[in-house]
Amino acid sequence: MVTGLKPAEASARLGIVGRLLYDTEARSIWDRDTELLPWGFRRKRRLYRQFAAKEIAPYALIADKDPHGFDAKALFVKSGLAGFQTEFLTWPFGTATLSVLSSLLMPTILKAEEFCSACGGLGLMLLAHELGIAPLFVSGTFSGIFKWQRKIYSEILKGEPAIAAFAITEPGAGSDVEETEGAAKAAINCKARKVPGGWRISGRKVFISDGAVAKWVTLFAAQEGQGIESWTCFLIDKSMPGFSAGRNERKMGQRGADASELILEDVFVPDDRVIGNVGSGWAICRNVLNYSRGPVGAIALGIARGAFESAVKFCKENRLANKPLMEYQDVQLALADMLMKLSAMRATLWRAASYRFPFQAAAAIAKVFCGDTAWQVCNQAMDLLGNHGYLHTNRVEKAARDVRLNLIYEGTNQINRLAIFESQLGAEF
Amino acid sequence: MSKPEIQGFIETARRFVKLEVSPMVGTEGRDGNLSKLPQIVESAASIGLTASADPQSPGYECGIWGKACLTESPAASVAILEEVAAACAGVAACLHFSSLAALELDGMPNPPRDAAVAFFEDSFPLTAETISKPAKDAVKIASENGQLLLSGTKVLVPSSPNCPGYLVYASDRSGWRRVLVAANARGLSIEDSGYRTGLAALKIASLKFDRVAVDAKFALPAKDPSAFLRRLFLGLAAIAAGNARGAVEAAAAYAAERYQGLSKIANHPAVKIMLGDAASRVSAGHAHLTAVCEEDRDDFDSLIRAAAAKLRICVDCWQAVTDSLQVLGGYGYMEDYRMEKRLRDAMTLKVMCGKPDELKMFCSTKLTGGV
Repeated sequence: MVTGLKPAEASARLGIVGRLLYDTEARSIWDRDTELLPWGFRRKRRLYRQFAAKEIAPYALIADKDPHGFDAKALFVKSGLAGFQTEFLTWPFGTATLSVLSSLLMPTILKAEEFCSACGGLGLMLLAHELGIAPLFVSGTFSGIFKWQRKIYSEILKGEPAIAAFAITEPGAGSDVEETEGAAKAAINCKARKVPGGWRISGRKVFISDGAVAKWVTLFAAQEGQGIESWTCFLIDKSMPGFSAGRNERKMGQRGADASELILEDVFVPDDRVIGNVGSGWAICRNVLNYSRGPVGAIALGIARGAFESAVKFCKENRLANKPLMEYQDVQLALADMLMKLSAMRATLWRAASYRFPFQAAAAIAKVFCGDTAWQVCNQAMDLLGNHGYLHTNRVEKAARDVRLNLIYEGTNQINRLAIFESQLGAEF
Repeated sequence: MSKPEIQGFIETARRFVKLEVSPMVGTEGRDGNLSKLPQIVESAASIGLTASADPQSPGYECGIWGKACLTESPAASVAILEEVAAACAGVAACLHFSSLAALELDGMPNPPRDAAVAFFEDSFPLTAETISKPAKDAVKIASENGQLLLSGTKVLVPSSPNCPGYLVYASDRSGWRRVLVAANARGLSIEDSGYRTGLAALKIASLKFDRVAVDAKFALPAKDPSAFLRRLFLGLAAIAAGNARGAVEAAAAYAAERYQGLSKIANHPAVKIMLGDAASRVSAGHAHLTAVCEEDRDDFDSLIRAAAAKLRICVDCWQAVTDSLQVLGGYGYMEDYRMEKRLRDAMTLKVMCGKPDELKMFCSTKLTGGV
């Protein structure tokens, strides 16, 4: 047994100043990172973590095995009443703290990590709502923010499950509606026709997160006879005649959140539900992606952190040849590698969040780097547990299944790589 | 074994896949219609695809892990497993694990048609030492009143769904002993592993032996598990290679049909890169398997080569499957296209019965003077 040589013991031989300069406290990186944040975000981060531990983690495996047997709306209402679903606006309309003035994205990034460390699927269910709200906000219009977003927020704060969903993907147009070159030639199916007093919309959207449980949908449709350049954003109320939710997809992971088909059959949408200008949909969509890709990276980070924590727990509780797994150097090497990757992901995300406004390259870098790295971390966790890695009860296999989606949605990581460079083609390096 | 002979086995496996496996996999349910599995296992045995220790059975010589593995090479077994896994890795794993005991039980009077081998335990790492001599806390075997008594636990033992018995590697003072235990033996409790990632066709259970009494005639001569492990690793590598081949073929077919922005996605550089990389990994895996089969002997070097094949091929083929899934985008993540099932199976194959770091350390054994 080595005594006296460990950093905390060795530091005792230093003088007062030497000891002050030598930080040997065995505090977690989570605690140390939290201290880096402004007070408002520090407080929020702790609240998100408490909520995730109490309201999400206990239901993670249940919702994964039987998504239809879990009441997603009830969880949303709890989160809404805790003030976690109305954080794009400050009092008196929402629950954002003033710290949001220093970083619009930081609350969502912190929340995504904490919620998804407990469960990627239920975390997505809660976070996809923000994606649904984002077009109202980034449209920058009075009606978008102070009429509709405010109305939805007031419903949530009253305890209603006023979930919003964001609908762009179509059966024949997936990642290409998230990238310039592809969008120019995309086969757009969802069409809007101008009629007196409003628009008639027909078509289908697929893979829409929260599509089955949402009350509101921000939906993008092209004008008849035109392409994506005519895309316009509409706020649809699911009670509108002709609107229905179709097939609920059976996914590999993130099963706590539904991915549904939305069917529009000549749905009448009044003029006042047009978000932004007619024909501004493509710009709104692209900017929504700038706001959402960072949080998607944070979802990946959260899931990977969950896998890491599950692996640590397993290695503490299990023994090999009468020695705890945690004491083996090969185990420590793997865990250290995972921890290093988690730190790198968080640094990338917090840096992306530190820009005044999100922009394409930073958002896509955060999304791609965190998605790819989190997939590695979750698979390392499975590798570490070996035969026990594929058992549902140990949670790491669920994390790996969950995080695989992060390489696909919000534009595949290949499309996002193109997006990184698109915005930097004219820049000096 | 000549190439035409191996091709003959491959053709038989293809017919079996077309008639039995593909309809079972279908498109409904997370892992296909698993209720048909016992019938599929039965059918594989009846046409000689799986081996049995019964000399009268059709697969005794040339079924998966049949006698030809000793007299010729494991090439036919590997080829059949690859072919079946190209359609369903779970069914291939089922056939693999139901055949592994055949050679071990060869010569035993009235052997069971199907028995699973119970070797792994949580308490010992895979090393040259634990292979040659059981760890202290391995399942124990002791003689008492002319009977053998088994005590201890074997964890996560893979088998076919209706496996009638287990060939258990247990320890006595002299080393490894092997004994056949009926699944319904008194004192043996079998606990299912529960919901898991992939290879759903397999039954995976932990076996708890509470002074299970076994007649001495069911004890086999003492032997270390090297030969069993060699076949275990080769089979898992073959299944991983077949599973990945099926994934790449499915992704290529999808890319050739799917349009995005008026152009087939097969024309997109990102798709070409992923498909090319995946295909090269599958091709390298197949070549690796062929080379290992050619050099297969009953020695420690061959065991190391088989472990290296399991390690390398399972990791590379897992990458090939995840890239294939990426080609399908959102559709790849949905159950309908069966690509996510392939990825779940690949993830399971990579970590089961020898996790990557464990195999890496095992492969370094000879290099570092461990033998």
